[in-house]
Amino acid sequence: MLSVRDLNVSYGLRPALERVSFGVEAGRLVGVVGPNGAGKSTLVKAIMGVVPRRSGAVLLEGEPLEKVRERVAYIPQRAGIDWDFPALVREVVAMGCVPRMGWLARPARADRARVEAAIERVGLTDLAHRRIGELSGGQQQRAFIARALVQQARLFLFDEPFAGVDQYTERAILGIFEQLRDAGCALLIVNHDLGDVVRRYDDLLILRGEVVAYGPREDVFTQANLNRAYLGPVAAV
Amino acid sequence: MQELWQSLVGFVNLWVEPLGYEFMVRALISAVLVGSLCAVMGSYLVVRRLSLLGLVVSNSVVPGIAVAFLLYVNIFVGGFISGILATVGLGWLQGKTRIKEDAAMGVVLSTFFGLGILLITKIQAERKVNLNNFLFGNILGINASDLITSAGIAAVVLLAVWALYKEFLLLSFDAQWAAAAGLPTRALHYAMMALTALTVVASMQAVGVALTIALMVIPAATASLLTNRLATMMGLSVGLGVTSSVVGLYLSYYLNLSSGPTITLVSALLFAAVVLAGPLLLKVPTGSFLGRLKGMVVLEGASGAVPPSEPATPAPQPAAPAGKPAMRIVRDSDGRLSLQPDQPSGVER
Repeated sequence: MLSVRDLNVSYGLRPALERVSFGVEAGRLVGVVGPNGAGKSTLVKAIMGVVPRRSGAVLLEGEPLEKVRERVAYIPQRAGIDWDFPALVREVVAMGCVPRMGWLARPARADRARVEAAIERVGLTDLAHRRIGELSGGQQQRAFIARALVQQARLFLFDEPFAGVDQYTERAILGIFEQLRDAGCALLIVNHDLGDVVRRYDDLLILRGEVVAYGPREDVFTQANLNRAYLGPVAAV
Repeated sequence: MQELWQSLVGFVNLWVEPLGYEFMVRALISAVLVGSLCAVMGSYLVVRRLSLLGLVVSNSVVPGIAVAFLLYVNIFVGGFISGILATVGLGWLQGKTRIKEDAAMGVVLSTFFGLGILLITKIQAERKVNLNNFLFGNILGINASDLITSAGIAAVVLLAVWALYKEFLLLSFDAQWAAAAGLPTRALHYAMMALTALTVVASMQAVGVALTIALMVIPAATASLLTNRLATMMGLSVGLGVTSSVVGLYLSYYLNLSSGPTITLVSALLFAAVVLAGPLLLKVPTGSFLGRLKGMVVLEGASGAVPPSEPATPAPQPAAPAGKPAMRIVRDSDGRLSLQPDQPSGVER
């Protein structure tokens, strides 16, 4: 479904990602792990094209991703958002409708129904009328997942979805991920955590400026690969 | 009873009587137009934390006005072009150099304003005309053709905001996500700035370029203290802006005051009233009420405690496999990152 070919990204002269190539099939839950500075967030942003690629191609179902952005849901790290923004949880979730809507279009009844269904699926029905900033970290994360659900995407890119959420929310989020995977979507999840969560992924992409290892979890989650990724100073990345 | 009636009639007359003058009718229409227009665009500036950019745009129209006057071109066009040039110049500075946003704004703002003042003083000396009205506003002196132009501009801006509401909402809330979702965020940002420049040129004769920023930012900031929705904030902001400009207009008529500063001070008074009385009205602690202004809302205090919907104790979790790093990055309520051992008791909120 997703095909990344020979992706190179640099910040100024400093290379951040080099010769990254991999593919993700439909119905796979892929974890992206690696040390700080390994380029995990950069990878997701470069796939989305929000940081410039120096070279390389990103194809979604055979087409350049730029042309089919509405088929991709990107859930950035929470830190980039102004939590004082005057928007209700329901409004934030409804933003997911916009990419598939035309200019001047107003939300249809079906859109509104999808929004309510997504809010219910992430368990925020009781908080839908709250201002987004009043929610806890885990609840905010669930609101953004609901926004992604509303987008009706085929590919989901999550940047640190488990940062600062409690284990109950973590489990709930993982449950939603697995439902999406079983529905034939592909998910790419950036994760700092090498704990329990890793065992829920189908595939792992171990990253350190370049692909250290990629494949089914049981094959690549080895001490040798982790040592290659994590031990020693993170140089040149 | 009779006395009460008399004083009521007197009060109404205070508002109605001046409308016998045609200039006062024009001023009133202008006050309503400018008050609502500035409030709508100002709401975007406030929620996007771009108030200072509003100031850059408004002060940067001055050289355009001067040049337009020199070349006998429409001053609205001149002011608009110069405001756009400043915005584009600012974007270029930020994109191509390492100058920080606020410093870049300071550079652009002072350069344009300095050039504008230089040109205006020169023109005033040579042509014996008074361009002060553009700087400080003279709502009582607006002529019919300028009023019609302002109304036309207001119609264009409000129509554009209506048409682009959902796109502007996405841009303002989460620009990075909006870009990833395929929205042309750059074009939308410049469209918003162009609408801001139009707002400034439509308002400059009423409140003056030096103080349009007040009518854009103060009502919107006041409204932001009172609501949780952008649409509601815009509505409240329009109410506050129109009230400020109409009351300011009458004060400037009766007390013979300069209209721009008077309108500014009325809106500042309304702001002060909401700051002081708001916590009492909404029954929330002052700290969390005002927190919205500086961007640091205390979560628990904002509108009653947020009930924890998750169970307090986590389900038991198997220990991490030996030999593998079992640390997790935790983001605390202030957004700071810290590294914590991944233990079953580690429930972060």
